[in-house]
Amino acid sequence: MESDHVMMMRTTATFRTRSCDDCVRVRASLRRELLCANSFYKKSKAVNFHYFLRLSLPSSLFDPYIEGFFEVSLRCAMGDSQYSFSLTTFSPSGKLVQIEHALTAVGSGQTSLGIKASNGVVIATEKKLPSILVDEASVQKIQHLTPNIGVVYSGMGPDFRVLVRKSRKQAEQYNRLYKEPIPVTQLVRETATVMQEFTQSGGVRPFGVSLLVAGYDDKGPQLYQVDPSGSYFSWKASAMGKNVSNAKTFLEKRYTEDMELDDAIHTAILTLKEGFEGEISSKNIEIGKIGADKVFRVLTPAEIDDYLAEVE
Amino acid sequence: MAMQIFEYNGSAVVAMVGKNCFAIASDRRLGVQLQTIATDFQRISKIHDRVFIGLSGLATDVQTLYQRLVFRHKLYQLREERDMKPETFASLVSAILYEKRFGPYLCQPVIAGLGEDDKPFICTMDSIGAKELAKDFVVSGTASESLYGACEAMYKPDMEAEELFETISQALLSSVDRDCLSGWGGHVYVVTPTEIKERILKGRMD
Repeated sequence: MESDHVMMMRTTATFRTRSCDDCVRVRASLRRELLCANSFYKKSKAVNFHYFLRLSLPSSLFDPYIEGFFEVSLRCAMGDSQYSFSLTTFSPSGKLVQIEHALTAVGSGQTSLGIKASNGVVIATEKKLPSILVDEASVQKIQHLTPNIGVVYSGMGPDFRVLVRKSRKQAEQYNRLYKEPIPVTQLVRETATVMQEFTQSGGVRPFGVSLLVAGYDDKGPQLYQVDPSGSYFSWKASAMGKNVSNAKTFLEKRYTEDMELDDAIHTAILTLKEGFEGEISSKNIEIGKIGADKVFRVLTPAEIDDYLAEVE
Repeated sequence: MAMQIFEYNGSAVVAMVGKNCFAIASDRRLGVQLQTIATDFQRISKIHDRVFIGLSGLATDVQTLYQRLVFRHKLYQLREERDMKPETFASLVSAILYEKRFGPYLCQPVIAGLGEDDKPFICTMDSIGAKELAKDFVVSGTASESLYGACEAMYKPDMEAEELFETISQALLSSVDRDCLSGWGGHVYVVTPTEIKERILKGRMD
């Protein structure tokens, strides 16, 4: 049996490690022929930025006629040490079960809906707080992404916050590059791309929210729904959350193509009322609208009261 | 003789605003200092039917920067399903130039286009992206000082396409005649909302 040679090699490596504390993944190649990959080695003590590694290599490689050099590259395991693979994997029936579960999380969230009118868009949501002691003025479920784009969600609030933050940053980056406000379709696409990335990356789970994005740009009023899988659809009217099937049936009956913004707000309130448990009031719903002035606004409780009175 | 990098290849580019139209013109000489290499060098390029960019300065950067900008615009067209407005395009060029702040592209772009409502838009910037908008004309290149003088003297606001062509051609040819590094004719584009007219000028061929 030929004995294997053991080589001491010195090599420099620069890499950023996130949470892989103890080990580095090593990939060694000889003139582009791969010798070993994905070997995990405990990090030796660094001496002057050099890492010392011991590698066992078959002696057949030490043919005196072979010229070349050994190249050892150090690549750090990305993501958390054991989870460089995705947790969202296909089931035998071709479904991504994690995404189905994410949609279930959305489906048990509070109802939210949106309606696109001929001259604007309205989005609305229930604002059921866990206790009467919660300061309802501090809870804002409807958020701005840009001055002319607003968003509401159904599902997990903290996931929503993260997405809003990322979307705002992307919108602002676009504005900084082109000195032009981002079109609604582009922002929706970028947000959906983020959500899709979290279904195909190592060590992360999909977002447990569906978003309704309402905006008004050069193409007119637009309403988009974005799902945890990263797919997005443009809707004339849509609902999500607990009461979705009743709400959608109601909207299908009530929606007309030439609806104006105020009619749409009335219809939105009536739709929310359909499945509402308890008394509807300006304290337990939130409404946001955008008109031809291209400014997205969340209605104040006083304004909501006015609309509620008109609807009664 | 000290070598100035912006004067290595020689160039002259000018753009002028007319009534619902614009004209952009450049010389055609490509040289290596005192030697002339080509007499048909393309300095003005079309980004789309309503936006043109003329690049003066080092020829290699002119070509590379043009390729990068076309790349970015094509992707923009595919994603957004529309053409870039000239103001947006100018902001993009400015950002791309500033990315290379400490190792810049050695060219000065001149951007001309028709914006919303067919309103003409022109601007120039330095090699690191400082935008300069103008209402009448913009110039760049080795012949820029002569061009400033000629344009100032010959320009009138609200000229129609034919008169604009005459004016910009005269301004270009008289300026490059005074500059040894640019010349060998001219290349003029006059763009109106309905058509793009491209014309080659024959001037002093030297």
